[in-house]
Amino acid sequence: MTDQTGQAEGLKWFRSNLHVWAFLLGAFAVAIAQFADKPRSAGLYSIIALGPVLGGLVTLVRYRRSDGTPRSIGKIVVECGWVCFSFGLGYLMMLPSRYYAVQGGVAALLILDAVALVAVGGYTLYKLGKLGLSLTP
Amino acid sequence: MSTSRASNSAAIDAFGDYAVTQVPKDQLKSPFGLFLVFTGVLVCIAVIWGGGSLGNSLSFKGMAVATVVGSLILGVIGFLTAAIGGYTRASTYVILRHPFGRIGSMFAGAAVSGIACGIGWFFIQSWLFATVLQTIVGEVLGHVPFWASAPVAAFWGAMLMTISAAYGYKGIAFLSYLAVPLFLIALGGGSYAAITEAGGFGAALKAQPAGTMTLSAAVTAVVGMYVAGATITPDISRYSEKPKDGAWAWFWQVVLLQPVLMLAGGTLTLLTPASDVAKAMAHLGIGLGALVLIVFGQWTTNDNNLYNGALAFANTFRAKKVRVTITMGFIGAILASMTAAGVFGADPFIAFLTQLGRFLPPIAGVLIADFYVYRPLLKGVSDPYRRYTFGPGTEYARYNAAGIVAWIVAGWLSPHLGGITALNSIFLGFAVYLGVAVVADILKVPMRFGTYTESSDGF
Repeated sequence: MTDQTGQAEGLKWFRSNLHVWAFLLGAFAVAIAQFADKPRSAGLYSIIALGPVLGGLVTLVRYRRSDGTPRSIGKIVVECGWVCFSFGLGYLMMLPSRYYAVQGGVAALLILDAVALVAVGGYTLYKLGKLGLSLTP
Repeated sequence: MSTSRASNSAAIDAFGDYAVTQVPKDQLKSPFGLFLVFTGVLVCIAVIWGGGSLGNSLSFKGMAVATVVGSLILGVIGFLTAAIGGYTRASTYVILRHPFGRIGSMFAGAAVSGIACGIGWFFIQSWLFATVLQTIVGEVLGHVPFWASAPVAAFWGAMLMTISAAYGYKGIAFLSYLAVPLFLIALGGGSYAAITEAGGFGAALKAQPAGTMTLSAAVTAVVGMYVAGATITPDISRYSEKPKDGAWAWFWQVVLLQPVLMLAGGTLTLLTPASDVAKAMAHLGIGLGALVLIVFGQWTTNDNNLYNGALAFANTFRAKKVRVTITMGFIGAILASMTAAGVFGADPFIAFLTQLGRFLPPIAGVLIADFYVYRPLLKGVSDPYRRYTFGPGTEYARYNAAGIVAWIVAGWLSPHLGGITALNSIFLGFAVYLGVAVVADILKVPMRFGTYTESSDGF
């Protein structure tokens, strides 16, 4: 019971904010990608951003359907954390490519956005792991 | 009617990763996690190359039809077997204790999954990983450093795959959460780039293939490529929160993603002489994406080969699963490294494994016949949770002749019947099992020999 109370307390911030961060960082990436010189780069980086955007929205829907226990909320939060983390890494993987290159300013903003996604996702996984929740829900 | 998944009582997980026991209810996993794990198993270079071989002989439309039809067939087969895993929360080889008998399950599991997946295909895929990595690193850097030379990469690659497999389901799931989105991004971006530079989708739609192939032969190729995966889905779906979560996860990943993977390779082959998406990506300056495609693609597939093989051996030998995994992984690493160094060729092994592979799909036929027809309709066990029970004290036959006969006959005869060999073997396994079991029941001929009582540790 004490563990559950501790988990519920520890989950509070993530329950309220993580999906919002995922959605906003994804939406920001879509907006920035539109300024890319090459249409194919704009297309690719917009499509990658759909991961966190949809991840944020799906997380919100799943919260409403969950039974509200720390374990079920934790599962949803962990999966949203993974979406942020891996899609952020996806940007960092594709941004150095010649074929999908973007000009300096856009590249800098996209890198910042990707690093933020990785940081938010990584921090979520780290904190939830410390709370004793499974990282493979 | 029961609505919970039955067992006599909980066995102690003495071998780790619930290798020979049912997965406890508090360890069950989400549908999204199962979807990612199944996707991780599917996505690998070999599937893209398989699509490439279709591109040699089929138009774009023909490829699209063949891959969708083949994937739907695989989706249905895997759905049926995965649901059995969901209901029982047990691995394929533990489930086989009922239709094959306890000793029968030891032999069948060790032969088709332990030796074939855990050692054979594991080392072949590790060798393939190393040869492709050597080519791509050479393309990206202009030279091949020591660490990327095939014999060295085969060893460290196999050991890397062994690490995630050694952690069991948690290990392969952790890797899948990280790697599958990356793989799909790299594949999507890479395939688009490679196909666009080779002439574009418009040209692909009009392109004529160099050779010819019938649609049924193409469907055979698609089904044959992954029917082994469809047979042993319970190894993953035993972690389903709801019995059919894993079944649906399997169905959607294979129906949605396998056609995309195969069409990516096939379309490129239609347009150019080569179907190597990773090599084309490296050439176009998407080197990091190409490396991710190879490393994570092979890693998430091959650790599952080892995981399946170790589960099968854990049902055969009384040993901790992690030790079995590390031993098999080390043997695989040595064999892959020696193959890459040219000490011996891979072809004889591939031929042997292909022959052995004929005996895997009949297991799906036997399981489907026993679980969905024989037990509910002929034995009156309508509750799917009660069709198979496990746990300390459970009594199994030592040998169930109906399952063993159906398995051997179907594996042996299936290539000689024409049509889709993999489907032949499933249908034969299904029909022969039912035929033998029903006739034996009518004639009151015993098919189940000896008694084996499950011990407190599930063995």
